[in-house]
Amino acid sequence: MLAQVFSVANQKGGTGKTTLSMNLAAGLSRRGRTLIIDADPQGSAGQWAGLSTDERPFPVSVISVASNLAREVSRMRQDYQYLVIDCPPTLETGVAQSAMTISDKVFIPILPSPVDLWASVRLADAIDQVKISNSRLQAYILINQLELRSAMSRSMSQALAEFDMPALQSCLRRRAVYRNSALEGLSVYCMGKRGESAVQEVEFLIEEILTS
Amino acid sequence: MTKELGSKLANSVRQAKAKQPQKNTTDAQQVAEAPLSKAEPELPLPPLPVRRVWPD
Repeated sequence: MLAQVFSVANQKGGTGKTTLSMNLAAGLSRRGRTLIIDADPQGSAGQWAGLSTDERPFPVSVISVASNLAREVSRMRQDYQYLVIDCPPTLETGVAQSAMTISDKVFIPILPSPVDLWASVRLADAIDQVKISNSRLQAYILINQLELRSAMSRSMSQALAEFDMPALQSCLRRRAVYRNSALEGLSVYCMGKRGESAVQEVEFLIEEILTS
Repeated sequence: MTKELGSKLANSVRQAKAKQPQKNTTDAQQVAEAPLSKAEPELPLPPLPVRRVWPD
């Protein structure tokens, strides 16, 4: 069976693409063989996993693909159940578009802020263009770093209704454990009690992704 | 308060959408329909297109 391919994209930096990719992949790896494809020249996914130790390795392999993304993904599709592509924070190079062209689903992490919303308008257009050649692509917005006590966070659903793509019901809260796990080269699944709430929300997200 | 802020946010998204350049449908169709084999010959593979970064 061919792997399901999930891209994590947003042309704006700092929205949590790598954090989402790493934790999503860690959760998916509990369900089937998973590979992270680091398509971002900054190489953050590789750096993250590289910080783990031999005693506590990151549970998913990371490869960096510098070119021929489509070819490499089609080759790897046969060996894995899930491929997670961490896209670069730009639309200018065409890499994010290439990733979406070969993906089943693309997730767009958006922070609860006006600037992030505005930046995503352009991405929504790019996704529409990609859908011309990949009609099976499903795109979902994911609110990242949600703060329940913030009025801005609570107002997001009204603004997201302006987009032509759905937002996932799941969202990731703003939690220190996401940043701390990166520093240790781990996913939130390996953070013990500190990571429990984060694991719960990642699990909820994965269930939604796999059933949507 | 939340509702008012939500309306403001929604309005700002509408404005951002309105400011987007018009989509060039013809260009998109041309790209989608272009015969890849003739117009874009395969480039030779670079020596290391894939690099396993974790585990080493």
